[in-house]
Amino acid sequence: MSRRTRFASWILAAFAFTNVACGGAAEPPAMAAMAPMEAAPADAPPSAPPSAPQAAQASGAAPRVAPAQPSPPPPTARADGRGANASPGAAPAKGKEAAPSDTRAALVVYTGGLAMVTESGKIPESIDKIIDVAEGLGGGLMGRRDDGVDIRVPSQHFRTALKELEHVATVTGRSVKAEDVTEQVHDLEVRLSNLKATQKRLQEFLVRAQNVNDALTVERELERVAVEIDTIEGKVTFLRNRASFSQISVSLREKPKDTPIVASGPAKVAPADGPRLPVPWLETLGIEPLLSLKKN
Amino acid sequence: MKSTLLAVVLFSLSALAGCASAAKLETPSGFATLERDDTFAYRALSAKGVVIATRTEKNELKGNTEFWSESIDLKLSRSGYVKKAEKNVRSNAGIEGRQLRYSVDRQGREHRYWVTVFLKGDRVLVVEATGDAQHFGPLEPTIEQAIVTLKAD
Repeated sequence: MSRRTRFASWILAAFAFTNVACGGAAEPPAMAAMAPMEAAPADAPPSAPPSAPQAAQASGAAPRVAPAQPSPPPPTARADGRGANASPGAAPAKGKEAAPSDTRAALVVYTGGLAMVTESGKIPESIDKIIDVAEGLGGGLMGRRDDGVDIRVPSQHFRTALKELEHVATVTGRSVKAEDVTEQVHDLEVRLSNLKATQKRLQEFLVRAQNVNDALTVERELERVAVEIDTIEGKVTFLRNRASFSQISVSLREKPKDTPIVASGPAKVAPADGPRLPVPWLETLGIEPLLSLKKN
Repeated sequence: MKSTLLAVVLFSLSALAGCASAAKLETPSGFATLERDDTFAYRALSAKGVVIATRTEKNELKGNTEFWSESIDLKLSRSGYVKKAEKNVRSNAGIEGRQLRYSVDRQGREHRYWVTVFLKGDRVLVVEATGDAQHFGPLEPTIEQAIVTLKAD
């Protein structure tokens, strides 16, 4: 095998690895044409690779440092049990058995809604109290309207927040929604690890590139992987933030004024509305006819 | 022909009877008398809008002074008048009556309204007086004196 063909085989292997790790299906036709079936396994380059910093220095690309994850899964393991370094003919491991799901901390996004009734004219005051509750628990304001407010509180204080809000005004309706994103975050983290491994290998290939064309090809692939890493890191961060804080939307309305059924004192008792006497002149009594100077 | 003549005579007599029982007052100083109309047998007013007037109505229900004063009070209370005082009065001619005094808001200003009901024969004689409280107050003694000058011929 010529040196050029062997290099192309490495690139092809890297593509295959990336596609398996990220669920992609595309394979550059040019590279496929360059590398026939003799491609080596992606995780076993024929010669000893340089260290990652050396590779980064050689390629001119800054090494990407992944944010610390609480319990990163094995770098080449996938949630579906397939590993990037699995031999092409090997049967995939069965599903979730390979994933350490029982050791992962559950990531649940809680969303709550409260409908409340307050005294007339006290909606602004109640909204201020609701914000105070959120801030007292380490959360804060998300949005405020004339008739309601959206707050966020740390998820561990979600239930406490609901209980404290019940003291602000009369609760007439509640709703709580829980969305488990544990599996979603885990899958994203596995993909992230695999992409980083791919990135590292590509950097090694870049160091070994023999001509400009090969270097450009690897550079393009490195760029694609970097973009995908950024996207997945953003998704993971977003989901973790959502799980660490819970949102509570509160809508407020004023209590309708009570209409007394029985008069509560002798002072304002309305006169009895008995039958009216059949005496027309009684109805014309009063100051208006007296003050009217028009001739009748 | 005879029946038509009889009807005309009866109508004339009843008209005369009505005129005979028309209630009148001695017009107080500073008041001007208005022409008689269908509602008021007598009406006089001051330059500042204080009015005093009389009505003569038939006592169809045969009610006494107490009955008519309570009926008037009920009607006025329903209309938002606030009763301030109530007392018996007697005219200089010896006619017994009952006087009710009210306060009422008109166009944002307090007005006084006095209504005094007398009975004479089968007639109900009603004397009313009203005006802006600011102008009515100083004239109250004058109006009290005018009311007791009631005459029903």
